[in-house]
Parts: sequence; structure tokens; C-alpha cells
Amino acid sequence: MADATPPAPHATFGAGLWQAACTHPTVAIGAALLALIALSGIAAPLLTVHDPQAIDPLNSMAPSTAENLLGTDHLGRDVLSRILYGTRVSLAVGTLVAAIATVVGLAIGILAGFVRLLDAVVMRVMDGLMSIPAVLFAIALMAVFRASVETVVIALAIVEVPRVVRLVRSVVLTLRELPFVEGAIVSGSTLPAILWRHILPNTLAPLTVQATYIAASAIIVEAALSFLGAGTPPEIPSWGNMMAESRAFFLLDPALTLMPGVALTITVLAVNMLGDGLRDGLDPRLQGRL
Amino acid sequence: MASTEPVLEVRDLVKHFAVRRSGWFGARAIVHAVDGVSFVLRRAETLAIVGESGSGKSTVGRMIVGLTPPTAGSVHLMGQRIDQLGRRKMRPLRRHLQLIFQDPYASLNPRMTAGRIVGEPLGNFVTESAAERRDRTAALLSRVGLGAQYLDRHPHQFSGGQRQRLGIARAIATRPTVVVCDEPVSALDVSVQAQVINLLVDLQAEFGMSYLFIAHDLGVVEHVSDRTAVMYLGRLVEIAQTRALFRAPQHPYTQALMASVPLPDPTKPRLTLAVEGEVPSAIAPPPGCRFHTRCPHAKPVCRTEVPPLRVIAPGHEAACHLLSG
Repeated sequence: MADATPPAPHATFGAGLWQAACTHPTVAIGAALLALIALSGIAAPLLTVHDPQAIDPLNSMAPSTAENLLGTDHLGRDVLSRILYGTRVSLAVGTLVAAIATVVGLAIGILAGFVRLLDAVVMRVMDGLMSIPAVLFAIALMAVFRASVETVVIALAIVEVPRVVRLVRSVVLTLRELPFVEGAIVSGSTLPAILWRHILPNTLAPLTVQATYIAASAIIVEAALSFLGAGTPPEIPSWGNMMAESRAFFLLDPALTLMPGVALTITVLAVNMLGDGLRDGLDPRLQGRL
Repeated sequence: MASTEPVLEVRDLVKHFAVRRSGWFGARAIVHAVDGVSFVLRRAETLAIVGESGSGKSTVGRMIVGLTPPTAGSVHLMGQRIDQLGRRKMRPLRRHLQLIFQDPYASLNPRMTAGRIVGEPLGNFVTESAAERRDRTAALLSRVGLGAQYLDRHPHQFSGGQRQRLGIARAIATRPTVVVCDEPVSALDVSVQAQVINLLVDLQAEFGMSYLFIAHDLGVVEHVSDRTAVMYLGRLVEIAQTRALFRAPQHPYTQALMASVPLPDPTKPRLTLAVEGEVPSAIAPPPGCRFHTRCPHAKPVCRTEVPPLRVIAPGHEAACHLLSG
């Protein structure tokens, strides 16, 4: 009867991550690509000698040269250095939005899942928040506060929180009925101890996957907002700004618009590869299939 | 070995679950899972509750340990009423009242080590010191037949029988007075069942715990229990000394249950009882005696009046109109 051993779940979350990276090549590729992108953003001052904001009108719309590897834009700014510095904004927004939305959503989701009185109220508020389109909400916030990367992060985090809350709540509702949680209750553990020891570790895997999707979507929405002029202010080089500014010269030099777009695509692809691989690698139902 | 001092008493325990029958607008239906169960568990005694699946025996166990709130009735642990205590007030009493789960796979957190699983109740009630907890956990593991070398292993590295030993170690860690064993061996291989049963019997002799042993395997029950209670559709139909119950079952349902036990010798003549049909639905249990729909001896009174549990011999009670006096 008890012969059918269920697939062994990962003993610890860290071990699970490592095993997912080893068994799912997309995790390794996505993570490596992402590390490379992050490194090029952090080490931008070392990789290029040009100030991304330095205007050189005499050298505008220059083609690729040894001096400006990817040429210059309509104000004579070095495109390569702008793309490298633009990495910082994209990754910062993606990481911060994912981190804030995950932490806040985790706390609210666990409470909603465990405190029946809160559940109905919290979930209706979350449903309300979810009905607000991210871009519209961000534009509204920009109109009230000044345009800045911080405002973008806050706007996107607020919109993403309900998705995390829903996920965490559903996981908690499943977990709280499991015999090992009942075992902890019978063993006399307090509610905080049960949440910390039994519930939280078992929510980390789906939460990590969700965080990568949030990061990917935040990067895209930030670029879209900047493209619309309602995101990162123009004095900070970002991919969305670059595309917006070079749009007028698209027929003259389409590469000016396309290059930041390619950078954006590769970054989002790397994040999504990481997320997809983790989803497959961390899901206990899919374990043992590879 | 059992004394007469009651350590656990349940009175008129009732559990009704509300369910919706079909779709959103379907009529609300009530499942009568447990309907007025009373019994006393004495110190160092093993009382078995047997019955088919759906008879409500596990629900009784869950209500006793407070995992399912009773609809009505009361649970008393060492004289104190515990069914209405909140989570906070119940917590300190939990060290006296433990539960061994049926499923040795789902009842252990897959991400925790054996040491942390068994150490959890110790940390809650016995000791704050991590070093002392580790020593005690190691001692508990070796007491249940697992060495201290297993401390850092995770549940998936154990076999079913070993996992159940972990569950037992966790349950006895606080030296409880009462342990509810909810079908502790029914998920295990037959070859392992005997070892786990013997471990439970040995631990009881050593620590003087009382067991409420919920099971459907009559062979196991006959081996371990001092007294046995039989449940049918949420009601107790008979309760007696195990030996008396197995030698001379009085209630027609108990007789049918005993007759269904496979005998080791198939050539031996056996009592055959004509019990036909299925167990009726607990949503609409039959009026009167709940067994009357299948009872070969049913009389008109059985269809209308609920037979109370009556003493039919010293220490032997049964709920049947045919056994009056």
C-alpha cells in the first residue's frame, strides 16, 4: 500500500533552486544571461569612456565607428553607453517592483489565508486594485507626483501586489488543511511558529516563480511608460526614453530605435527563461520527470 | 493494567457538516457525521473505536484533539472541559493530548529534518535549550527504533514504517496522558504493521499513556485494545471489554462486522449473517435505529425509536431494542 513513494520534495528551498538550475538548462541560461546584463549595467563606467548624457551636436547621427561602437543619436550622445546605463534603470525597476510586491503580497496573503475575518475584506480590496490597468495608474501617479523612477516603482508594485496576494492566499489555504500543519497545531506550536516553520518555506517556490514574471512585466511597463513620457525622466538614460527620442528619426536611422528595443527584448527573455525553468524545476509534481 | 480513573470523557458529541447538494441553488444538506457519542477513556487503557469508513470514528478523534470543532456535546480532559477553549487556552493542554496521524507521508513537513519534526513539541513544552532538545530528540528517536544518525534526514529519506515511527516519537515527546491514534497502521504494509503496533504497546507499558485507538482492522484491535467501541453511521452501537465483545458480540451490526473478518483457516465453518445493502447516506440517516435498514432482526419499533445504549452485562453496553434487559 505504502510502496508508491511520492516524489521526494526538495529538503530546503536553496537545494531546490540548485537542483532546478542543474536539471533545467533554461534556468542556467536565463540566470547567466541576466548576470551578464546586470554586470554590464553595474560596470558601465568601465566598459565605456563616454558620458551617456554628454551632448556633441557636431557628431550627431554618426554611424558606427571605433570611437562610438553603435554610433550616436540626434544629439550626438554615444548610443552604446546609453544602452549600458539604461540597463540600470530597467533592472532596478524590475528587481525593486518584484521585491516590494513579493514581500508586501506575502504578508497580506498569509494574513488573508489564516485570518478568516480579514479574508473577505482584503480580497475585495485586492480585486479592486487588480481592476486598475498598470499603465493608467502609473500615469495618474505621475500626474500627482513628479516623474521619477521611484514613482514608477511604487505604481507598478501597487498594481502587482494583488497577484501575489492571490497566489500566496491560495497556497496558504491549501497548506493549512494539510496533516503536517495540523500536526504542528497538535504539537502545541503557536500561530507565528506555524507560519514561519511550516507555511512560509512551502510558499517560497511558487513565489519565486511569480517574482520573475513580475520583474519581466515591470521592465516592459517601465519602458512603455518612459516611451510615453510618463516614466523615467529624460535626464536619466533608459531604453524607453531612447526609443521615444529616436522615434522621430526612425526613417533616417532605424537602428537608433531598434537597439534599445533589442536590449529590452533580450533582458525580458532572460528573466522569462529563468522563471519558466524555475516553474518547472521547483514544481514537485514535475520533479523526477527529467 | 488499566485503572478506573477517567482521563478523557466525551459526552453526547455531535458533528454535523453542512453541504450544498447540487449547484449553487441546491438545497442545503446536513451530513450527520457523529450523532451523540459518549464514552470514557481510563488511565493507561486502550479503547478502540471501530467502524466502517464513514462511520464517524475519525471525526470523533479530530474533535477530541480540537482539530474539528464539535457541533454539540463536550470533551473533558482530566476533568477539564476542553472543547470550548480557544486556541490560546488549549495550547498548554496539548502536551497532555496528542495525535498520531493515519498518513505517515502527509503528516510530516517535507522540508524539515527528523530532528526538527520530533523536536517541535519539545521546543514548545519541554525545553528552550537547543542542545538539550537535540539530546532528547536523539533519545526519542532511538526509543522508537530509529538511531540518532537519522536526526538530519528528511521525511522522504524514510520508509513508511519509519515515518510512522517519527510520528509516534513526535506524539510521545511531551509524555502525554492521552494519545489519539487515528488508524496509525492502516497506511502501512502488513509486514510493518505488527512492528509499529508492538512499539505502541511497549510505549504504553513504559509511559502509562491512554490510547484512543481508531481502526477498522478488527485483528489489530483485538490484539491491542482493552475495550472496544463499535460505531455505525455516527452512533455508538456497542461498547465492551474487547475479549467479551469478540467472544460474544451482542448487537446485530457487531455480529455482522465480526462475521466479515477473514479467517486464517478457510475450511473452518463460520457464522454467516445476512446483512445486505449499502450503508445508508449520512445526509439522510434512517430514523429509529440506524441499522434497521440492513438488520436481519429488525422489528417495527426499530424503525421509529432510537435505541439508547443500555447495560446488558457488567461493562457491556449495546444499543439495540432486541437486547432489552
